[in-house]
Parts: sequence; structure tokens; C-alpha cells
Amino acid sequence: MVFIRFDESKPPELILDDAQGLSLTVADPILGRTLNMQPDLVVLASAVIPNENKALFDLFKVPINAEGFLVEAHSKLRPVDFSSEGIFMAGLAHYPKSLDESIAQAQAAVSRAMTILSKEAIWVGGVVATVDASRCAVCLTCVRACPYGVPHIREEGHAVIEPAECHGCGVCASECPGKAITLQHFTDRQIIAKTDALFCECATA
Amino acid sequence: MTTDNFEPQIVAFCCKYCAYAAADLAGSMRLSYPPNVKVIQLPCTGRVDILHLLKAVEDGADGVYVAGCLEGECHFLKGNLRARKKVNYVKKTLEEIGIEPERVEMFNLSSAMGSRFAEIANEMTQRIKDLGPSPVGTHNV
Repeated sequence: MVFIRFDESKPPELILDDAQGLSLTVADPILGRTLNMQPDLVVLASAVIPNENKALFDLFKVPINAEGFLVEAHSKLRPVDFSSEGIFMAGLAHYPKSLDESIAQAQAAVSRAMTILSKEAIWVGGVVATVDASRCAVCLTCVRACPYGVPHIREEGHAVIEPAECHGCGVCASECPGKAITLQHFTDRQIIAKTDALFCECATA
Repeated sequence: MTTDNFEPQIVAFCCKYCAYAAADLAGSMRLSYPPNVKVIQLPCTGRVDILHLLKAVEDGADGVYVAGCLEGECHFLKGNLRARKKVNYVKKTLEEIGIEPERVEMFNLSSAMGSRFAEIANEMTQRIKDLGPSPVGTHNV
């Protein structure tokens, strides 16, 4: 198999001559010459255009690129995962690829899914909001702010956030006027410590 | 430090799902962007507190920006809209105390927009270079 590069501004020219058959002329930028050949058959690679799946993708909150193909969490480290946990991908929706590659990717997606399905119970991340009951003024701000309706106020007399239900976005923590809510691993002290560290004299000295 | 060789310090609060992933992509695409931008990861821009933005300015950041998902596409539904409100509030506060509100900005991008991330970093660095050092910063001391 011989590959020939061509410049996009000078595409190959194909002429059908009744007497001589097909004639293909292409300027090879590496040789710096124009090549002419008489192929028996010319097969065009047709474009692969993604389906209009935006509504479906929005539903799962999976990202697409400018062309409309899906984007993985990380092209090298998490090639069949999405950044949302537990959603995997395979096939042409990702980018134009051969069947072999689609199958390999499907197998990868299955094995990634099996890492979850094979477990009796899974550990979820510790990034959840906790309430300091003594600071809670029962103002209902967190109840209104939470995009998932997780915080509730019942007979306890203060806001309660169920850790298993919390998605860990931290909206409640930054909205809470009484600073009664802390998002674990992203506490105010931790975030401020990061900016402090960037400007601390000792860090640059 | 004179303004000629002024290298601004910029803090970028990036959400994990879009802006931070875009920064990652910018890296794997081998795009270059100014080293003036220091990224702090958050689960969602909804976690940004007015306090964090003001604290960064107080610490001496010449510019601060929040980068979240595209509007309507926030992983946590509306966190980025809340962040925008807070950024606007901080802009107003800074203006009242005589600091250019342009030093604080809100950007939206998707995780597939690696080149946009680099573009934003360039844009913000240029903007702050034009504004000069923050009056709060250590550059003037």
C-alpha cells in the first residue's frame, strides 16, 4: 500500500476517458512532482457525520465537541469514561473509527462497567456537604439552593443533608448565610489556603 | 516592579467538569498559555464564595476569574449561574472601593474547548497587563 499526501489547496484530479479508462493526477508535495496513474477502481472515503443526539446527550450531561462527537473524560487516562461517574462510551458517536476500534472500545467500556457491577457495594467520594447544627438558623436557603432538593428540615430543628444523596457541588456551602454548611475537601479554609499559598512570600523565597 | 516587565498573577477558579477538564485538554493538545494563570479546582463554580474571590484579590492577585460550564450545561444544573451573580457582585464591590472591576471575570466553556481555555488565559493575562498591577498587590510595595 502506498500513501500519497496532497495539499488541500491542490486536490487530486480524476478524469474518465472512454479510451484509456481512469486517470488520476495528484501533486505530491514531498516529491515535489505531479504523479499520474491509471487506477482500475477509485473508492472514496465518505464523511462520517454524528447523529443529532443533542437532546439525549444533554439528558446524560455528556459533553460533545464542536463537530458533535462525544468527548471522553481524558483521552489518555480515561478514554472510555465520561467525567460523570458510571457513564461509558464506545463506537462512532465518539469519532469516526474502524469497526475493530469500535469493538476494542466496547470491550473497554464493558470492563470499566464491570469494575462497578462486580462489587456488592461501592465507596462513594467524601465530597459531601455537612451541616453544623449549632450554626443553622433554619433559613431554608440550602433547601432552595440545592439543585437536587437534598437538604431538608424536619423535627431535628436544623437542616439535614443526607451524605448518600448529596452530589457534592457545594452550592449550599457557598450560599449558606450562616456558614453552617461545609463541603468536605473543599472547605473555605482549604480554598483560601490555596490562594494564600500562591501569594505567600515564603513560597517564592 | 515597573510595568514594563510586569507579570500579573492571576487566579482561575475552575469547575472540575468543564473548565478544569478543558485545561487538561489544552495540555494534552500541547497548547501553550501564559504561566501567569494559576488554577484552583472546585467541584462546581457554584462552590465559589464571594469571600474566595475577595480573599484572592486581598492576597495580591492582579486578576481573578471563575471558569465554569456553558450556561444551561452546568453539571450541577445551575451552579455557574450562581457563580456569575457572585462575580458580578464582586465587580460592583471592587468598583466601590476603587479597584477596576475588570480584574474579576466569569467565563463559560465546555470540557471539549481546550483551545478556548488557552484563549481565555491569554485574554485575561493581556487584560491585566494592560490594567497594570493591582493596587492591593505586593508589586507596588
